[in-house]
Amino acid sequence: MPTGFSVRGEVYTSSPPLQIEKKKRDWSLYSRTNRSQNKLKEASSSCHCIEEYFPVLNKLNLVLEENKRLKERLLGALRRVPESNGHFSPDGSNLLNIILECAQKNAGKKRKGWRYNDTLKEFCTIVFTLGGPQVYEILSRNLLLPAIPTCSRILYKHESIQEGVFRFKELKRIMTEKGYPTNKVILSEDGTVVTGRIQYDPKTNQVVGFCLPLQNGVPVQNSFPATSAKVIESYFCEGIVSTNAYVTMARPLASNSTPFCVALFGTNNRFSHHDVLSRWEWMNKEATKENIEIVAHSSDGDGKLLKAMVSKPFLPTHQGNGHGFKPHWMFLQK
Amino acid sequence: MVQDTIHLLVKLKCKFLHASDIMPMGKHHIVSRGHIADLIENTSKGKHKLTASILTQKDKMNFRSAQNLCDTIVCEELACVAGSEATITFLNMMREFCSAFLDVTLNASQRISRVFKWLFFVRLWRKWIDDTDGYSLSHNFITSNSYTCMELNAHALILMVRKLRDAEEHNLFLPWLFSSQDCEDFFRKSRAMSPTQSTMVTFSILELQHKTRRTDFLSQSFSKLANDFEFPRLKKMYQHQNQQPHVSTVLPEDYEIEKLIEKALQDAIEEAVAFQIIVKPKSKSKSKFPVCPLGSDLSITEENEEHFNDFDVDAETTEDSSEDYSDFNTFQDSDENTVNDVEEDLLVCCTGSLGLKNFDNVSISSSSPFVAVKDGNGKQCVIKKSSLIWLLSSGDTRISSDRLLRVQAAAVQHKRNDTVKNQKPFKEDTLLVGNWYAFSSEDNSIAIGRVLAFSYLSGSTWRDQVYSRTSAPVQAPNEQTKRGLGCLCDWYTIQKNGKLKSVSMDIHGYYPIEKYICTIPRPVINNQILQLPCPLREIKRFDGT
Repeated sequence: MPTGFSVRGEVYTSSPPLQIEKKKRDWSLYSRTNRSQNKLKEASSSCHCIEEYFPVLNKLNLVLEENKRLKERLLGALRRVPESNGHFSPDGSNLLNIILECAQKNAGKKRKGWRYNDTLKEFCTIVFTLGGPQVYEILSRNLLLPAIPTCSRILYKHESIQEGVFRFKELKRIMTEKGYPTNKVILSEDGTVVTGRIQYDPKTNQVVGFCLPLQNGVPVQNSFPATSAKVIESYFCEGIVSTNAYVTMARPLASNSTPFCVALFGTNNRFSHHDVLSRWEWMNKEATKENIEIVAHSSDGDGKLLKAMVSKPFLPTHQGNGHGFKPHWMFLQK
Repeated sequence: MVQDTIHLLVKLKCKFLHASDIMPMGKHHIVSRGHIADLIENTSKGKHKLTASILTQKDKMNFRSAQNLCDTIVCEELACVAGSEATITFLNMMREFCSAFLDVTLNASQRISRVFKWLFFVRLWRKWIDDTDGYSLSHNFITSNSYTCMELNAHALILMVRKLRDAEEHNLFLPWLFSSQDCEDFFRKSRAMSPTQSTMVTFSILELQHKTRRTDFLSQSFSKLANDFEFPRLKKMYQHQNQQPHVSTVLPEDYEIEKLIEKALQDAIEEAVAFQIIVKPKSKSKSKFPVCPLGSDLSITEENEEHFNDFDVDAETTEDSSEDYSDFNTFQDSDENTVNDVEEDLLVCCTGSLGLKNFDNVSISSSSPFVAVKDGNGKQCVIKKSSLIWLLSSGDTRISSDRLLRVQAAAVQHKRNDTVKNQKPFKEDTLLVGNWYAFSSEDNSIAIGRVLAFSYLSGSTWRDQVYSRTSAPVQAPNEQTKRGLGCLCDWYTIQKNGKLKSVSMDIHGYYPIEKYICTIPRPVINNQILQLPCPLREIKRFDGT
């Protein structure tokens, strides 16, 4: 009958046979063997040392060697643990891998001398932009991520939109990058109220906040360069403060597309439907240069745009049958 | 050329809920919010899911409430409200016309049928109103803005089908993208960009530029890093509320479209005939479809701009800007005499010393962010350009940041007294929209009317006459001058057997409230026949007094 054995304080017992327990009061607790075991247990409770476990491991190995079936089962269980091979796995371990890699590379350096790879930096900037400085500060300190100034720099380096510039080139680039199956876009435009604050943009050396003058309905960019104090003052005398921001968004004709801001400029909402029409014409021309086809303009029922849409060759009329409409299909009559 | 469908829906809702405008649809029926009031009052909320706050015009641009209003369950429940046929049709029109663009599950043919059925119906209706003396398109019809939007969208749909079919790109027919919601979304995101600037709901142009850079960065990085990381929100964005969008493989050919449109015309005429709206086609016209001249309407569009701005929450700073100018001008005037006696490129910025940080050791060029100015003591100093601009701008146009205030939820309305549950006629001081009353008609007989709206009978302008509340006193309050109130009703005459017969009206109008006799209980509907709920003599009892 097997009894307990002890290896430097650690006690291993085999369970006592069940039948004995049932018969009468359990005296076995006070048997000689158990008493000595209990003593050993009490003594071992105060000392824990890692090397104490190695003999146990050895013993386990011995047991495993003796029991082939047990070994096979353990190995089988191990195989079921997915191997992490550094690639993306759905539970997001990729981020942890990248952080680990960075930490290993930078080990031994001072915290300020750490360098990060670009993917991690970009990812962190996303978190920073969405989560804000307070959240990001906590994360960066505790997860060994890039510092806030790094993220701000990446954000600032990203191409900016300048007032009055139509970014069809960028639109084309993004459409190719994202791999939309088409070159057709829908443009929509609308305005929203802004504070009429005049500010200086050091990046472009422009005074921003005045209405850009319209040329054929198209805003003229770089109309307010801040060259000298005199010039700046003259803007304040002559310039018209913009009360609305006018935005043109492009949406590629694809179900998974994201909208892109093609242009934004300040205006005081004093433009006519002729301006709108000539701007559309100009925009169509610019877009065609980049091999983008504007299939439709869309708006929210603003009177000027509505008038522009009704007044012009966009609709089939009796006169201009350019759309190949059959005569009795013509519903609108001017 | 598309107009935003969501805006269109909201505008139709606004017109529908407009307090005093009458929208007649045929001689018997009126499109009115009074029917909705009746429904809310008399049916349990669980059935129609509407609240009384939907009738107030507090939050005009609320798309959700517009959607709820024209939901199918509302239309089904409205069938139990007597005389509400026109309202049901109007709500159906709102729903089907807009869902033709917004519902992702429809195919191209379904969209065309829906859009053109209701477009033709609206044209017939419009023609009828135009031809009927006493009605005007500006007051008795949907706004010309909405009507033009409907026309444009219907045409855009056909143009788009033809264009994409001829380009062999059938799968790109995605009409729910034909909107300006991207712009709205952009503004919304900019106003509530979380969370670095979440407290800043207003911005200047430059600030908007910075915000745009952030949105650009995010959208581009998301797609760039999509292979390495997971962005759950991005995936959700494309799941159209768990609906599988219908991707068309083959768009209809011209002859198919023609068939669809002809069918739609038949449907529309059927709808219109039900309301006795009959328009004889002019022999002059080449078209076999009713043609509506648009040109005459366009003069109204300008006016409409104004009208639209009324409920555009953004349109309030235009006046302030002119004030600003006067400020700038005075600044210029006071400056003029001093500017002349200093050197050409240096500017005197203030009297006395400047009080700004002097960057003496910075070299200046026209593109550097610093400029040289002279302060009041004649001393040259180098300051930041941004400081100079700050110095020069005297007053900013500030709009209140608490935008939320302007679209506050309407205060909770307490349930009105259930006087209607009373089974006997009685007299009261205040009339409510949706209730049934007996009036003495012009030939001194008794007419039954369900009140749909109130209006002042006198007033110099149309807007002056609008009475927006849903209850009205029979006798004008003592302290106020008597302006005369009228009520718009669904009219019924009482027949011998106690049945109520709908009265055909050449022109719906406001009837003086003084002709009120008494309040009667809600009539019972039996097989679509309205039955007077109380004996006629009980009403006559009040008539004598």
